[in-house]
This record gives sequence, C-alpha cells and structure tokens, in this order.
Amino acid sequence: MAQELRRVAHGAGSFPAVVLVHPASPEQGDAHFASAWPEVAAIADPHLAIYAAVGRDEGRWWDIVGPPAWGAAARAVLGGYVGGVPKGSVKAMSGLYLVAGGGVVWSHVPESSGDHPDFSQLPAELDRALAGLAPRVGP
Amino acid sequence: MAPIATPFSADVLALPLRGRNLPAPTLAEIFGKGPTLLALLRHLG
Repeated sequence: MAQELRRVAHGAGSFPAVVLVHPASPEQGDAHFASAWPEVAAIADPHLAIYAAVGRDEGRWWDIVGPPAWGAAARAVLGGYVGGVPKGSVKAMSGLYLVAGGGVVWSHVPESSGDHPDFSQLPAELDRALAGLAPRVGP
Repeated sequence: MAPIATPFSADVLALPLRGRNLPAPTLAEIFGKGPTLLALLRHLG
C-alpha cells in the first residue's frame, strides 16, 4: 500500500500530509523507507498500540492469507510490487484514516488484506472530505 | 490544542513515537499540525 500511496501523493495537486504506521521495529522501518520512500514520515509501532486503538491489531489468518488476499497479491506482483519477508507482527491489519478538524473525517477500513481503496480516486475523495470541514460562506 | 474526538484515546495520542521523519513526537501534535492521512500498513515490503 505504501508504494501506491507514494505514487498517488506525488501525482496529486494537493494531498494531506501522509504519516505511515508500520508494525516493525524503528531500525527495520528506517532501513526499508530509506530507499522505498525516503521523505515519508513513518511511525514504528511494533507493539501495535496504534493498531489496537482502531481495532486493527487482531487480523484473522483467513483475512491475511485467505482467498480475499490472493487478488491483491496478484495485482501487486503484476504491478511490479514484489514483497519480501514480512517484518513485524503478522496480525496487523491495514487502514487509512484522514484526521482533520479534531476527528477522523474519512477512513478506509479493509475487510481483508485484499481490500484496497481505489487509489486513482483517493485525492478527490480526500479533497471532498476536507471540503466538508471548510467554513461555508454566504447564505 | 483541540482534542481528537475519535477513535484515538488520550493515551494513544500522547504516546511517545519512534520512527523516521516524524513531524512531532506524539500523534496529538502531528494531528494538530493539519490534515493528516494516517496509513496503517500490514507489514514492510
């Protein structure tokens, strides 16, 4: 997901600040993102405290390696994204949360590891979510 | 700084963070800087 986010964030005219959270150690995260996305902010959460806060710390094996994940794995490989050996907890589940104005104004919480948002529509979706927060002028 | 309503508790917002290129030492301060897309990854790579 990080590679897709990087591509979308770089290609969009406006995009909120991206902060990644990963379940590996700070050292593993540093080593990975030094080449994968050098400028991104990446929080190491090996104890899954942030994942637990949003209920994303207890992925079921079926969600992680079952048929719903196969399509995403195939799309990733066809897109040139070849994953290595996972680092960190294998129970961590993904999720996207747009935080603004004191709360979460948009989120994508996958049912399984194969469920990703439509990244081509993501900038527009986030723009709409943020526009809803803007003070309205006029009657 | 206005509190973040949901779903992050005060404890999680105040956790000292470790990582790379962090714009602030806690989630509360990061969120206070402006709209933030927080992306939870399943794993690295």
